[in-house]
Amino acid sequence: MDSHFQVIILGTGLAESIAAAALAKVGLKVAHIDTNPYYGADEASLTTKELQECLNRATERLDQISRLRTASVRGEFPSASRDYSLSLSPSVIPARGPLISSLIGSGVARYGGFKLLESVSVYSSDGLKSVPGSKEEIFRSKDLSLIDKRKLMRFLMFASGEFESSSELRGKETMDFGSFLKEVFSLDSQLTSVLACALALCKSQCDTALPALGRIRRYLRSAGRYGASPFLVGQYGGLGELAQGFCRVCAVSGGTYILGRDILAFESKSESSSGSEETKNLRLKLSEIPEDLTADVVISSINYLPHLSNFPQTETEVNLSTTESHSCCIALVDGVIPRLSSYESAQATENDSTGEPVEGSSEEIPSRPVDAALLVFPSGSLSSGKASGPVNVLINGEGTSSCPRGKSLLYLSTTTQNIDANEANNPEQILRPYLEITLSLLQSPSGEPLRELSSAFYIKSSPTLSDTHLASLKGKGIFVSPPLPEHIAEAGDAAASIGETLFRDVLKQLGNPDADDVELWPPLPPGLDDDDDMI
Amino acid sequence: MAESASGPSDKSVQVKLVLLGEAAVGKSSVVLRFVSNEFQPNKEPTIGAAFLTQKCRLEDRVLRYEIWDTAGQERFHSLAPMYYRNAQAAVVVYDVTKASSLEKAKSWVKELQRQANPNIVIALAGNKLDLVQPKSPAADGTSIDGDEPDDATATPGEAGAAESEVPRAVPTEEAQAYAQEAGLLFFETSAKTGEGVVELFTDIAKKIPIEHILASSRGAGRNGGPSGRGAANQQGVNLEESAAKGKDACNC
Ligand SMILES: Nc1nc2c(ncn2[C@@H]2O[C@H](COP(=O)(O)OP(=O)(O)OP(=O)(O)O)[C@@H](O)[C@H]2O)c(=O)[nH]1
Ligand SMILES: [Mg+2]
Repeated sequence: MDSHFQVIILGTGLAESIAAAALAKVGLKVAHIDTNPYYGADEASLTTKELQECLNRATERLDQISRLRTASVRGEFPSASRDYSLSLSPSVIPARGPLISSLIGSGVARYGGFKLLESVSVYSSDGLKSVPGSKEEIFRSKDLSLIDKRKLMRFLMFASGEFESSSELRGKETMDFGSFLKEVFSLDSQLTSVLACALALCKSQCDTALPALGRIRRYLRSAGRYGASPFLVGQYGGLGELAQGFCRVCAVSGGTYILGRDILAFESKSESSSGSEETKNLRLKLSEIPEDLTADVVISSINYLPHLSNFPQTETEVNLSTTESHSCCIALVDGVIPRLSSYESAQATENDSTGEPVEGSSEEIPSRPVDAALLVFPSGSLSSGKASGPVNVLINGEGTSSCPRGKSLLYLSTTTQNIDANEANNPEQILRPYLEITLSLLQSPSGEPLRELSSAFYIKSSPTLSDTHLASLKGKGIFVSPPLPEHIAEAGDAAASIGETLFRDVLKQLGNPDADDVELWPPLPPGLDDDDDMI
Repeated sequence: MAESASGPSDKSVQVKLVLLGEAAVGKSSVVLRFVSNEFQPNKEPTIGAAFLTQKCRLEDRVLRYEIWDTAGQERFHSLAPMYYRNAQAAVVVYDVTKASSLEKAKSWVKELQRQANPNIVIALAGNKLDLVQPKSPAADGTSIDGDEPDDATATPGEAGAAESEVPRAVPTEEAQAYAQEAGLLFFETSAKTGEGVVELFTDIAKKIPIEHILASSRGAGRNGGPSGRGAANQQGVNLEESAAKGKDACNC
């Protein structure tokens, strides 16, 4: 192996994978490395066996390059390990945004399958209510009074427009979103909580107005592109599968892939002679790879930094601070979850793209199982629940190809500030009540009871690095890829934005003066893979 | 199956085929021969395309191969699960002049049996057959490097110029016996002359349980059974199609 690369990328998370694909496509020599034996890093989609191994390492805190901690597992994972693709970053993807653009631009869209998220529902003590996602749905809603409909319409008009310059928002940008809704649009606290949790997908009650409005506007504009729903769900576990797709694009453009090897040494030579620029200034030694790899530039997932700083030659002190943590649960469920009332049913179902017979236009479509749906518990909505913010439950059925027929998956997550590994607020204790109530709520009245087969609980931390640290690393040719926001609808788009930034930063570092104008995805060669010649 | 009328009958059945084998045995070259009927003597590693498609017409049906090349990800044993996902066919290539490449091929067959769909049709292809054949002047008329003598001498088959060529390292019988025992189709091929290449892909096509694929793409069976990407897409969202239609481009 010729072991000098222009770019070495550490970590195969979605952001790094997007950067890898884009860099290889412009002709740079890329080596992409992950110490885990699987692709996707903290966004991976794993078999049950891989998940178990990953969580074991997290619990034992074995020198693991990952943000997972404090895992516990209940029940036996099914032995048919490969029938499952379990996501470490369960996500929905807005139909318009940087990730979808990158999927199409890179050609990765052709690798993966996608489903529309069928519905977003909100829990309250009187059950589940589906959330209207559009003006039409608000009109149709039977749960809303006429006056509430008017207020909501007014709000949605506002949120879908150019609110940044509006008088309503001026001076209130950093107000918490709930108070903003109450104050400016006179919405009652129930509607406020529904809008904040289910439309803006706020992660806590103190989310501020401006970003929340930004999300709502993007989601509103996403609706209608591929269907009534603003969101897509990736098959085979979502983001992890997409990361694999981008890695393949990188490989196809000549990128080298090395997974599952340990980093034995890392060295960054501090700039000695100012004269020559093309110095092989970064050096990496991997287990089982005889030759050292060298690079002009390194992109490193934040996960690798503490590890790299173990090597004194790095001269890089890395001080990660964790500001936010997330409690997560993956539950494997025996039984099929019936569809909740959905975007599709609220709109008259026209041209069902499935090619299957369209089941009338009645409001209830009881017979079909759920493919993908989102359920939100607003803060404090469940009296037995102790989560401090909203709890999201992403439901995946067989149609997402991430679990076998007759089974379902539930992904629960909630933000927890400064969580400790102590007994009182371990992830299982926080999320267990929500899991139980979800199982009982989703129960189809006629069918077999839903049964929890096994479940895994863990904490995912979000480390950050100070700007001075980042700058000093940059000076050594090391670009840091930050953790993705733990937000069900934002992680994917953030990955695409981070990937693009890394791409341009690296081009600049390598001396490309037009780095800002280079197309992230040059046009795909037409017809290359659409040869209709017969043989 | 009975419901042929309701399906998209104008479309051919899509079959995902993956390639595996040691580096430089000629995986990409075999595909290039099949898809474009060309041969490049100094083929760069990897092929530069996500996948290539090629229709294959049988007596009673047409199927459309979607051919995935490893793109070098196998080199450090870092193939993504996505690569195997929904593959209904695999061609495991070795080099008839290199014994170790058959051993490698055997390990890939094991890997396929572990990772891939249980009904996958696997073919073993002993490539570079031209190197071990006595060079009769008429034999390889198709891909004459003659007009570019520089290239011809640069070919790995440069030994061919000396007529004594490279010795065969894997006897046909040995590979055949292994293939039979492991339940694989078996061919010897030359991407250079084209020998055996079309036959390889045609025989795979014959062995693929098309009815099964059609049935599962139609409705229910999405997991487990063989269901190609095409099948999955029929039920899901095609990002490219809808994006093309969307006129209000508010793309970030
Ligand atoms: N003589 C001869 N040479 C061949 C044949 N097939 C491939 N080659 C040559 O062998 C070399 C490797 O071929 P590739 O098609 O790149 O092999 P590959 O298996 O795709 O290699 P990697 O992508 O690097 O793993 C090239 O120089 C080809 O020209 C063949 O049938 N006969
Ligand atoms: Mg190749």
